[in-house]
Amino acid sequence: MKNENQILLQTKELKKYFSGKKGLFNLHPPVVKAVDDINLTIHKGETLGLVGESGCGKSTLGRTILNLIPKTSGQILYEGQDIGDYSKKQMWEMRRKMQIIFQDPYSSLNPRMTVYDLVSAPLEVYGIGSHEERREMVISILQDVGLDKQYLNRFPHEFSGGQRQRIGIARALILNPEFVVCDEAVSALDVSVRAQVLNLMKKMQAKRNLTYLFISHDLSVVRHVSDRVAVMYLGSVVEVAEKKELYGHPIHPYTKALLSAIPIPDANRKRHRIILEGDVPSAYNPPSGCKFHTRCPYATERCSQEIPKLRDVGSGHLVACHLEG
Amino acid sequence: MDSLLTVRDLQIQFQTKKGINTAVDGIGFSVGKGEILGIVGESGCGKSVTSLSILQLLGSNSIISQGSIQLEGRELLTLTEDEMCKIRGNEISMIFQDPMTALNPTMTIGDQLMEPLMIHQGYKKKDAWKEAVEVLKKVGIAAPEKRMKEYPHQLSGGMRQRVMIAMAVSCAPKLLIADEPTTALDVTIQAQILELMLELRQKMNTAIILITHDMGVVAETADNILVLYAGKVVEYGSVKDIFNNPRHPYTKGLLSSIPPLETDVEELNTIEGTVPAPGHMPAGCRFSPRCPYAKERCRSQQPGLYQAGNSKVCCFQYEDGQR
Repeated sequence: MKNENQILLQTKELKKYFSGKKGLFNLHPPVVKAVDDINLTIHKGETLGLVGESGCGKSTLGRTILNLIPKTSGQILYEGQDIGDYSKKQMWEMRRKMQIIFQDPYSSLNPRMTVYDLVSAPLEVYGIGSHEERREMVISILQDVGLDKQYLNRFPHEFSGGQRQRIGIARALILNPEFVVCDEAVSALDVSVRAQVLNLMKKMQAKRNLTYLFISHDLSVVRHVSDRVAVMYLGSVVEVAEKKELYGHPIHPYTKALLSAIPIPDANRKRHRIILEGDVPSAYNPPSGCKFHTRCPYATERCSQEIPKLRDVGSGHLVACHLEG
Repeated sequence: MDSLLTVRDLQIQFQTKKGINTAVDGIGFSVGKGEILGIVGESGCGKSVTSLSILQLLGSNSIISQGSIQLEGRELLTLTEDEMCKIRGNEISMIFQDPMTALNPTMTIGDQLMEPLMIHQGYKKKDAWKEAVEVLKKVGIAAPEKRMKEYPHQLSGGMRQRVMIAMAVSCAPKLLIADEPTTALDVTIQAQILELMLELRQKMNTAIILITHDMGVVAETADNILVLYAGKVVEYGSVKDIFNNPRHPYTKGLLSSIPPLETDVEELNTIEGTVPAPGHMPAGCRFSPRCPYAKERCRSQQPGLYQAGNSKVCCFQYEDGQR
């Protein structure tokens, strides 16, 4: 079902900067480059995993791509059209095709709305179907995500975390979108429930030919769901590759360190860990040149001066590092 | 290993509007000197409540209704509040999950670090300052003299957790209880903190109770592991034993529902259903409604903790002591 060559979404030199308030004593407010010059391609029907540590800009990127927050510059091409410049009305039409599943199933559902109200809301907004038809559609999608129709008139607080996330998925999928951003969609769930929801998301993808942008800090979850994986550090993408290639042969020193830091539930192996020195630098004042050079064990003079470009090192494996190639 | 802390048949109940809920029911374990015990389980299994009860930090709506907690043969549950104060932070200390809320935002790092030294060890202010700087160096904080004068909000998450650890080990405790110490941190910072804890264990021979929901963290740091489910011990044994040969259906299910990092699986194994709500515990084995092997007896009768190999397992399958 996957069509490797068909591009669904592409970002070109996408930037999102946040700046502090300008005031009498603050003429040059600090600027955070949350998303800094990102070029990504997402193919139809694939899952692109997006990993990185907190504050690296992965959620901001997800929201900028959906045009939920306006970009600073660059292009967001959805099937060739730059949706970044769309009017409100055009964007309203587009939203049917692009949905998001949020991290926290506790705060993303209105506590005063019943399951039926929550899931049918998108249908009402777009004026789809009669009252009866909507009810049918809600029941059928709830069944798809593994919730019985007896729950229709219940409120979110009556459900467990895993069930709430199922409601969130049903709500995101009821309009039959093409593209779904999953922003840490399973991070708040316990291990046994997380597996249930991950299986459900994979099942829905196969059934509806969905394209996912799967944002997570959990590298083993990302490996499980993704076809390709992109690694972010301080607002920049440092490496993109097929998942087997990325986990088997990581090239960027940051990816290597990140992978070696994951604790593995296996008592027989004591691995060699690359322990990175120090913390992630402040986004207000990122290092010059390659942003990783302050923590990189292999950094040279050049790394602190010149920003490395994302280059193809063979069969679609992209790396932004001076040391490679 | 000599036993340092022994917990026997611990039962903790909470008074709620709807009646009494038993959060922890008959948990027992022991920690030897310099041993790292991992306590794992999903949310609501009672792992945090157990750890708080050791230091008697539970709220006033809780009752420790039975059991004993002994530190080197000394019963902790019968101590007065004053006696308990001498143990907290001195003989047993604790690290909490969120270092931002655990540290006092209105006190400098230095003042917070010097406090336990002056109270427990009788240091004068000047000596306490010197000692605190030493401890900060030990936990790997650069420019400790400068950090001593700073406030918690000026530090990063990883550094705050290092300060918490520095505070906890400043009086050279015999036992350190770490409640999800790395859950709020990124993986690369988590690796640093786990490394630091292993190092401290080696240098100071401190025993550690590591509470976590992350099986990977336990596998890489702990010696023994206690698996909890809905307030009961499910399986208890060495890390090698349990990871290589999980016996309880819950432990098996839990381990197989983690996505592997090196191989591909189409579909993850899952444990059907959800954890029972407090106050609605099943009559028999608490895992029986979700267990694929549950029999009639499992639903009506509670299994005991049976010896199987080198581990203890709470499942009727191992009643005859074999396998």
